[in-house]
Amino acid sequence: MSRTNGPLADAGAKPRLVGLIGAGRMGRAHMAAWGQLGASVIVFAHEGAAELAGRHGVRTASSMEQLLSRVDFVDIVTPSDTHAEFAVTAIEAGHDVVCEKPLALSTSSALAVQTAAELYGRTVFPAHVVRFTKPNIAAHRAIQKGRIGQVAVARFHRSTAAPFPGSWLSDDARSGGIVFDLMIHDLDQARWMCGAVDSVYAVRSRPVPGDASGICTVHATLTHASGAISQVTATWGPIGTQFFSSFSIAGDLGVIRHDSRQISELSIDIPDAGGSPRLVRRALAAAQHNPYLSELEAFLQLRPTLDPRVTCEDGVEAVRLAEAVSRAISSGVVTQLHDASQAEMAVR
Amino acid sequence: MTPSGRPLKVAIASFAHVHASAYIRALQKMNGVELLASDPDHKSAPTRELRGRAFARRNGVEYAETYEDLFAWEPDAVIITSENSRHRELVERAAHAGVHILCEKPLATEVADGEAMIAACERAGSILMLAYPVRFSPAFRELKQLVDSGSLGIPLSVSGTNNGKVPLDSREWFVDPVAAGGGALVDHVVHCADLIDVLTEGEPAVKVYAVANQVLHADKRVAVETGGLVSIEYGSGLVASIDCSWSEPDTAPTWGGLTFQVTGSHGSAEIAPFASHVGGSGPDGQIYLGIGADLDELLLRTFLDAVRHSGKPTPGIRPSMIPQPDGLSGLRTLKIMDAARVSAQHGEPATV
Repeated sequence: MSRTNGPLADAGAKPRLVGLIGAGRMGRAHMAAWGQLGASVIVFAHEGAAELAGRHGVRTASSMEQLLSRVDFVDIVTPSDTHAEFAVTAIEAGHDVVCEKPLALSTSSALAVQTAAELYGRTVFPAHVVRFTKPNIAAHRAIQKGRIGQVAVARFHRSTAAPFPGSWLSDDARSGGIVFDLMIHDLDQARWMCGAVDSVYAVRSRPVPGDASGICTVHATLTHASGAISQVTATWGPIGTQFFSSFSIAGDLGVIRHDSRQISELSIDIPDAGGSPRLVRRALAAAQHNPYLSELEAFLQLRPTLDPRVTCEDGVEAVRLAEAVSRAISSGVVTQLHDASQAEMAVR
Repeated sequence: MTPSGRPLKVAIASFAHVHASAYIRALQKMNGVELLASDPDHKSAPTRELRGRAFARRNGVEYAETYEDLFAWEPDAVIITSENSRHRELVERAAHAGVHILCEKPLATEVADGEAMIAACERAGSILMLAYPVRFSPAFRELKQLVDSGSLGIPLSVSGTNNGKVPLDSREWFVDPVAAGGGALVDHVVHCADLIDVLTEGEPAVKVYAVANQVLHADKRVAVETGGLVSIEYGSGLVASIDCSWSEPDTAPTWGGLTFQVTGSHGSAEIAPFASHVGGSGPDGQIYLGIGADLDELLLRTFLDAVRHSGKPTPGIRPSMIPQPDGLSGLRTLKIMDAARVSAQHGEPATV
């Protein structure tokens, strides 16, 4: 496997020079994390590179070629439709790659990235950040330890405001829409918690008249090779919708649940006679934990034994699931899947 | 009391369903209600289950040995808490005897039975109400108002969960494919489906997809599905998902619960009608003391009000007050449950 090469080949060396491609929202999140990890960054982006670099006191590259010739590895945080192409270019230039999710907007493009990585012996790390959030890590470990027994029925729900109309995220051709941008997190989680997926069915709510932002909910129903069944729900709500995520995973010995809304480590109530009521509840430990930092730290393998891994194959399978969900929505029929990791298992 | 001032005579037919004792308790608290119960099929139950005269004694209710005796008492109303597969024969019998009926959910195990039951009650002029208590919860009523007022915008999606313990220890027939008609899909899809029925004011579902498995409680050699996930599409474009699994562990401090979230174009709202409780720990583990509204009482009051208002059934004449959920509503949710069962069996979506 290619993932044993790359930044790990020269493990022990100091963190190096990161080539950050893209300077949007995820670019800011990754930039901050790289700074905390002590890595140096060079930014290349069609828009916003100078501003982001200026704010963090780092340099920009004037071209992709210039960036690739200077850096030790590449971090792709561009609009989703460009991920695969940038990844292949970086791999062909001999670089390991961190790639924001989704790895690609089609399984064939994702597989092209994987093939290139294998050919050039490079590591591709699809940045599925939910694998690095505390509740999901805790749940995954509990399952691995057998605390709920064999997983039987799982539910995952994720809800946030729909992207602003006009942004690239609101353009399905660029972002893949709600399935590739939001639901893919929990499609990956369903696979991580319940194992390889056998079949996918999905429905999508009707369009909202006059809405340009893509307000909708998608329900996907999955069966897993393990015998488990799962349901993944993703919602893009109206502007101002508070983010939440929740899951419930039942096994034959027990059940574990989490809901990001049910947190009250700190509750503050400051009534404001003139304004809207202010009731604040926060989970401090979880809020202070930065999953982007953990994720990029895992890429650097600074803590190899502690952090969960994401492989290129995981990124490919997440895209395959998202594609199956999209196909089920448009066709109304069940999509049968053959998870590559399953096929590999069968060969062994 | 009836309009004539005499107490209302309410019969309880069968103690097969676990809800029988809750209904009896709620009815005993009401003024102007006389109770008589019968459970002649108790011999078919495992001897470890408290049934028949012993159950009646424990619950402080008068007992009749046979259904002949029960209906000879000339009740105004009967509450049918039998196994699902016996709903039809008891409803038809009660309709024939000129009695108003509250039938435990689901309406029946097969759609044809449900249709026959509705027809029998129409002929007899009897009320046929289904025991779906959750729609009476104050939280759900507020949710319904939110939807009706347009505060949530256009309803786009519903996510419902109705998870419970496997109802094996109390009543074994719940896991009998014939007596129950199936497992978790039969037991727990219909409550959430009924809430959607209220929200949409009876919009029929068009397409149902369901997956089911038997991973939970596999050690107990249960013959029916113990886990189930259902996806429903309605003609208007509303989509819904329901988790009906018996996934509440045996060690949990309460029976389970129900959550119901509606997502609209302007926002979302979620209810958990059984969430209010006093919690703690004791020598046997966690303590969970439910303090929510008594939904059974609200359901029974609605039924008995309609019985009083309608008076004795007259064949061919509609009761003057038809309480909801009625037989047709029960038939709509039965059809969803039936389609879920078919879909889970074939691995493909089923049309309703």
